[in-house]
Amino acid sequence: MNALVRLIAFDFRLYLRDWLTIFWMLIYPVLMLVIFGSMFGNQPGTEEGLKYIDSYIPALCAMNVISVSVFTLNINMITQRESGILRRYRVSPIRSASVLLSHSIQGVFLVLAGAIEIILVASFIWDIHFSFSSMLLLFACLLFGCLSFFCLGFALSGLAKTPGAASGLAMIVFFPSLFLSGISMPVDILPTFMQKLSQWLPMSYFVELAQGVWLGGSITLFGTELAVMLGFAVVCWVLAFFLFRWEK
Amino acid sequence: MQTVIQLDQLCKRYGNTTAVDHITMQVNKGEIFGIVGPNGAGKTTLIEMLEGLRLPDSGSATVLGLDIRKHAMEIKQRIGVLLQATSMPEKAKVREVLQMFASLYHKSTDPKEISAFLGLEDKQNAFIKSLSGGWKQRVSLALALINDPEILFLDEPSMGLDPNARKEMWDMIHRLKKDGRTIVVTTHYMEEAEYLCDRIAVISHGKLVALDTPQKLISMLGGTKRISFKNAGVTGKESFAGLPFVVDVEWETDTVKLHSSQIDETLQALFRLAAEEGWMVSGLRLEDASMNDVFTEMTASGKGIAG
Repeated sequence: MNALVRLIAFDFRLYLRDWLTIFWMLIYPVLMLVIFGSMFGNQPGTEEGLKYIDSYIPALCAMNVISVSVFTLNINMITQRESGILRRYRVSPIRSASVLLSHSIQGVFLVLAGAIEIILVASFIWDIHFSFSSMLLLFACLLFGCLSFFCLGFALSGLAKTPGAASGLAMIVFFPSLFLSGISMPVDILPTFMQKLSQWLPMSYFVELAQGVWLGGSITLFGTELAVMLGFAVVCWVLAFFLFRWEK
Repeated sequence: MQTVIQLDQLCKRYGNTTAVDHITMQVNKGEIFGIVGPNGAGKTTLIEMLEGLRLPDSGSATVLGLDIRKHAMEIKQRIGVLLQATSMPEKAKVREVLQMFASLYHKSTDPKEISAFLGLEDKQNAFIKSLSGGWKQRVSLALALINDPEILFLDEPSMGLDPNARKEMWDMIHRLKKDGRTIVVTTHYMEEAEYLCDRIAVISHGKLVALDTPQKLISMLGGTKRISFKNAGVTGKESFAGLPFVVDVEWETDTVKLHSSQIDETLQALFRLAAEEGWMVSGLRLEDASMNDVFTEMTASGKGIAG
């Protein structure tokens, strides 16, 4: 146990020293919030009495889960594998699962820190819809998303050899999610064929879930979304199991 | 003599290739044991099984009396492995890396003590990224020693080091041996194997083709020596190969090296040949056989020369 705690503390420092991670996880989402929020923030949202910004907050939080998975975790695992750091852990008595767990915990930290930051900044600028219980429920849903998306990140890391190639792969996953799953714009305003495409993306269900609970919906209303997410988690776990590699 | 590593008919296959083919051998406590062989001979696979990273297909092996199949974790607690210098996070400081890895073991040496031993006291707050190759290698060695291991595995310890750093590494390895540690080293450099090792195992195509002290291995070549001289460009390679007792010819544009099992006879014939063809034997040097010759002879044919 002591070993795991020390490893988590060690990795925590490494993550904080990586300015690319800090930029993409803690600065970029806030930039998006301020830019898109200042353009559309006060426009009426999809539901009565709510504004664009109210559904944009949970969507950005969901985006963070996807970007930490396909960029941060994916690239860090490749770097650690190719330089032989993973091998160093393997010749030491620490369990392989602990190494993955430590990275996952860094990912969870980034996701939650990012979410809190987004909510705080938004509440300073706009008069947002907020309830404490919805926030906790949103965090729970984000963690639930981490279960599947982190495994997707670990699986992707098995496919590429260099961080460059990894970023390329990550883009292929990330950008469709950004545009088709309702993060930056409501799915309703997309052309019909893109709406169809959107229905096939697990990310769409994740964004839907995050927005739903943030806006006060009961978790029981989102059975479909939870079921799709659970299925997606299973698929990602299987993919990670077969694709993730410890050695070059 | 106490045995610390025992292999019995150990095998590992990948598809159709047998990377490790029925190897039986033992490593004694306190010796520096070398494993040499061409790339792809199976050295790495062999070592990785002993380090608890891979499972054998058949046969058995014990490290410190522990079965590699059942007790990989306990073995990892008690061995040290030197990895390539790159295998440390660049954005970590030396002190952080040492402390973190120390915390992974039941038994660990004080990082300060190891730092003092390896001269790393002044580098504690340096980022790994900022260190030169030689310094990184020292940190890497410090990590291999952090659990005060009974057996130390060194994979190509002087790869990529300049001659000074290599000499330092060799001195360090000798000091570690004096502490009573057993050291298993794989290497490409025959000079290194000859200088460092008490015994050397030669591996070729997954098989153990020879295992003995460097001196014995060299003498097994039957006293082959080399006659080296300037290539006058008159005589062809075939004529040299036809001289009495010549077993091999190394042919380069400026030098010729004849491997001879009867150096006196070959020399006489060489001078006679030169006189007949009207050229001078110049730049003459006689060399003893070395581990290099052992390596070439034993691994080229894929079979041993003993017997």
